[in-house]
Amino acid sequence: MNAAFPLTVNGVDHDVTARPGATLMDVLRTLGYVSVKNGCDHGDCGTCAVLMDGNAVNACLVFAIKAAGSAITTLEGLAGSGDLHPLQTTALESGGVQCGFCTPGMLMTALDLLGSKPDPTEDEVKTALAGNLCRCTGYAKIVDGIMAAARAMQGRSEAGDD
Amino acid sequence: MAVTSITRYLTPSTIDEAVALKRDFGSSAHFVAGGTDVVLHSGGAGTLIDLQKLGLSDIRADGGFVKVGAMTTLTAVLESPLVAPILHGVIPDMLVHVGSPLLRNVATLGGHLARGKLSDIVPVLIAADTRVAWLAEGEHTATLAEYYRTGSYLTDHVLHTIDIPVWNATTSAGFTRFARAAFDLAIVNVAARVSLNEAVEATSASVVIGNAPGPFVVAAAAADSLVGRPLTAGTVEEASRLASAESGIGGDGRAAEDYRRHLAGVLTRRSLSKAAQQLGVRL
Repeated sequence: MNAAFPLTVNGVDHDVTARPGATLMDVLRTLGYVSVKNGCDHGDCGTCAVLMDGNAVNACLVFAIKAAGSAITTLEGLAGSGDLHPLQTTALESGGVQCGFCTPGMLMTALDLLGSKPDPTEDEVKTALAGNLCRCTGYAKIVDGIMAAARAMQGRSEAGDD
Repeated sequence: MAVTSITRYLTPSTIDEAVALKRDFGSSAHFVAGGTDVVLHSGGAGTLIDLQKLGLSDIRADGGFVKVGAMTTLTAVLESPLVAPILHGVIPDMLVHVGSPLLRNVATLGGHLARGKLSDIVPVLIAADTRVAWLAEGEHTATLAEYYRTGSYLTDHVLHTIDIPVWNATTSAGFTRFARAAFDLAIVNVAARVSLNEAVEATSASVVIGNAPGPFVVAAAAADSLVGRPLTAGTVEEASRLASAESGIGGDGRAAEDYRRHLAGVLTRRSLSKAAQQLGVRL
């Protein structure tokens, strides 16, 4: 017995037909937004992090039907026509991407953080990433990348350049 | 992973409608707040009744209480300027370590309390003398401790308001948790509240041990031992000893009883010390 409901993802409206108990992660991946990763299906790893009305959430813990009427943002929606978002550029340049599996979730959580704190401290970045696990990098370069993106988004190129 | 047992997802617009739907669909219908726990532990529910349209997500000050709507997310509670000053910030101090920012953006205070599971939030709110209000064949209100003790949290009801007292500056509270990894549920935690008069004597106190392994144990003997006496390192030590001797503390797969008792004593001392420090008392 399927449910029908609308879902708006990266500004695109979708008419979804899915089980009523489907999670937002299941539906997004079925719609082709495969940057949303299933790392644990339990809300522990953060690889499924997406924005729901600007707030980072574990898509695996949200019933998809609950997201009807909200604006969902995934990594696919980050790059403007061809240009990478600063968070994507600095993630690559900082060495904060190894296998890349945690990266979409990390960047969506970072996008939420920078939306409310455009100039975060390193501690604020680490606290914001508390729900995003990485098995490859040891986190330091992920944090560096996010700090660099924050500076770039404020028009500053170097740390300490005010 | 889809919860395959669910065949119907309903979103009523009023609290009376929600209660009526629950009555109509019976035991196979479950209420959903944030839904983060229901996704993982649906209990075979066939019908979900989502409470998100009931307008229960505000926080306001009213008559000596901060009234928190049950559908308020944990993030909103954590960031609330009304909640922050209560008992020198014990609630945001505790909440910042509950789950993750991602989880807190969806999980709600009411949904968390109504589940009645292992928690850092429950002991802190009980120590703060929090009251809750719910609708179930009429309006009900009780302290959070009574809500659990009487089994009200297990009945068909919609919890709608959490009332946290705004304590004055002569009362403070501390919370300490012990877990193996930061993201784990605590093996045990302790919330302690104490009020002092000008002679630095405790006029009232509360010590609540959580995850003991049951959701909470009110360490009444520990709290009573403080009242009417100066708050000193000695009285704190005695309260800690009494807390660790509480009959409700036990062992489970995560900790043996004697280890948990030892931890309960240590965390009681630390939580009381935090409260004392916040009141400007050097133990």
